[in-house]
Amino acid sequence: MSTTGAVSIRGVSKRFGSTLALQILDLEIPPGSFFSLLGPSGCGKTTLLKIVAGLERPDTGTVSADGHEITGRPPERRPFNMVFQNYALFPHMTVADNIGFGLTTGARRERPPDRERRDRVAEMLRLVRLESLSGRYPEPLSALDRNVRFALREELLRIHQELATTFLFVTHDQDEALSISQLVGVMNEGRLEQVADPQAIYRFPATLFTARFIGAGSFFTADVRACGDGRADVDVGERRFSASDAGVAAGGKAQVMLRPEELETAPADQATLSGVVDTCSFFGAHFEISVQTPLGPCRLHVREPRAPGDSLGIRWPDRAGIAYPWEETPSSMDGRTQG
Amino acid sequence: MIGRSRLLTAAVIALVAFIWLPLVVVLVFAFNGGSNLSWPPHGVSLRWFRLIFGDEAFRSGLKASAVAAFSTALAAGAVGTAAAFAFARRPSRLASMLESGSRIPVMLPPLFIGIALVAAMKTFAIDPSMWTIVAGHVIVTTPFVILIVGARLRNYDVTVEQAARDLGATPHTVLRRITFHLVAPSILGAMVVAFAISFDEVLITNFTSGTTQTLPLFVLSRLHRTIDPSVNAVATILLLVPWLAVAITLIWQRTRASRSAAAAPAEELARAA
Repeated sequence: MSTTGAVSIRGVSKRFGSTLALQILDLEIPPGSFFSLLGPSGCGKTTLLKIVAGLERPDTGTVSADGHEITGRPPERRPFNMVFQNYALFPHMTVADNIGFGLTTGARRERPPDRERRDRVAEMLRLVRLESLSGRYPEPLSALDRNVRFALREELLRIHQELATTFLFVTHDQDEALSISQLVGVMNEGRLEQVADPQAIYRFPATLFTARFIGAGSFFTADVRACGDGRADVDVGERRFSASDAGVAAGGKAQVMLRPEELETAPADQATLSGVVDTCSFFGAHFEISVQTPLGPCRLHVREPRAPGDSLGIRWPDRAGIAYPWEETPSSMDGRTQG
Repeated sequence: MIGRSRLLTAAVIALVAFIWLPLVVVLVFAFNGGSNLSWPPHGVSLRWFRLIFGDEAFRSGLKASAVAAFSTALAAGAVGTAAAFAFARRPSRLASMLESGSRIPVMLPPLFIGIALVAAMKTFAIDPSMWTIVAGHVIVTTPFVILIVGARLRNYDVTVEQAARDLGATPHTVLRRITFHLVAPSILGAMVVAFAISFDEVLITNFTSGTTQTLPLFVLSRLHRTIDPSVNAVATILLLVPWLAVAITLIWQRTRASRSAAAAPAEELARAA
């Protein structure tokens, strides 16, 4: 891993007319990391990326690269390069000229000679395995299908490993973010909800928003009886169990999230909860069923399909789930997106 | 059903014939060997072209029209492109007001513009010359340039410019190496439109030309005296020069477009022609 490429964002905010695109926000991106900004559309992730690239000026705050402040620098004098969502290729230049463009823009004495530029373009084309398209003009490409996206994801990882430089990746697709990043920043309404590695984001979402946005889960309203040592004893209906504490207070209300894989089906005599199957969806390795229970809807994974309308016993582990302070209105529905 | 569609076909053919017939008549008589305008023409010859090219007045008229049209294309192209950039890239209330204002010359009767120019020339004691001819033509052609170039600037993807900045290009380099290349076909198309309008403009020119006689003015003065077949030859030249300009531009844009994905707005030009 290289030791350059650290980006630090301090106190950055941005307003467009009456909408606050970014609330005051701090973020440290470690050098050489693959960092993803994940969030629903309109959460401010693209604005933040453009501020880092220099295509937008923040209203407040500073952006630094490797310790040097660059907030006021125009994009052409920043040590970053951006890949645009719509590719933004130059239609009047060949593929090779598109790739080599960045080597032709500097001050005359800093530009590499033509020969070196051609060599480096050829090297880049080899890196992305597109040597055969060198002399062609770029053609508009429609949205990528799932297989190409997978291949592209692996390609990105491979290029990141090869270049050992910092990647800042912006996406609304959680599968994409979780599968390739070393660090993920979850954004919502112009704020950073959580910055952590993908496993932590999935297993221990710090806020209710992140819990709802990432993956699938069942959410139950609970009463908090006691808390301490990072655990909270909560009552869901008749049932008391120990959940991870995400900031609840004893005596208050909480929302408890359980991942589908934490719940199991059980025969009626061993079940702690019973319900009726609502829907059953196939995901290749498993089926995901949603079940209506007296405590509310819940989701779990099963190996065999269940017919809607079947009654089902659910076994609830003694230690499971995460308890979040109760919110009157969820800041957004659980943003489950698959693929 | 079949009867009705046949009727429709016949009607369309009749309509097209009605539109094209005068054109064909002019072309046929331009190459007519006979010495009067009676049907049928007598053989094929270039005698009328020889005659008018031998005429000093015609030659100077053609030259004057060519100079006026080239100058108009250059001036309207430059002014109109600059204005289109300002309107498209610096949106403000003032800009949108100015942009609406810039379309006014299209809606004004040319006769009014002509009279206004004469009045202005009298007021400011400006003598009619090639300069005043071009000034009048620039007034009527610039709105078309603003319209054509502005349309292109508004329907293209500005992220390519951001991408260029991101790759180290200064704003000036972006303008020169990206924006200009993508807008160039439209600028050229707009300039050809300005050229074509200027080349056969007669109403305004009539007021601003003074002693300079452009080709259309030459035709008018000749028709005053007599209608002889050489008028057909002149009309043919008036027709072919702008067509030639448009054809050359279209070919250039097509080859460019087929070479790259930068879809040149050739349709705009074709429509205007």
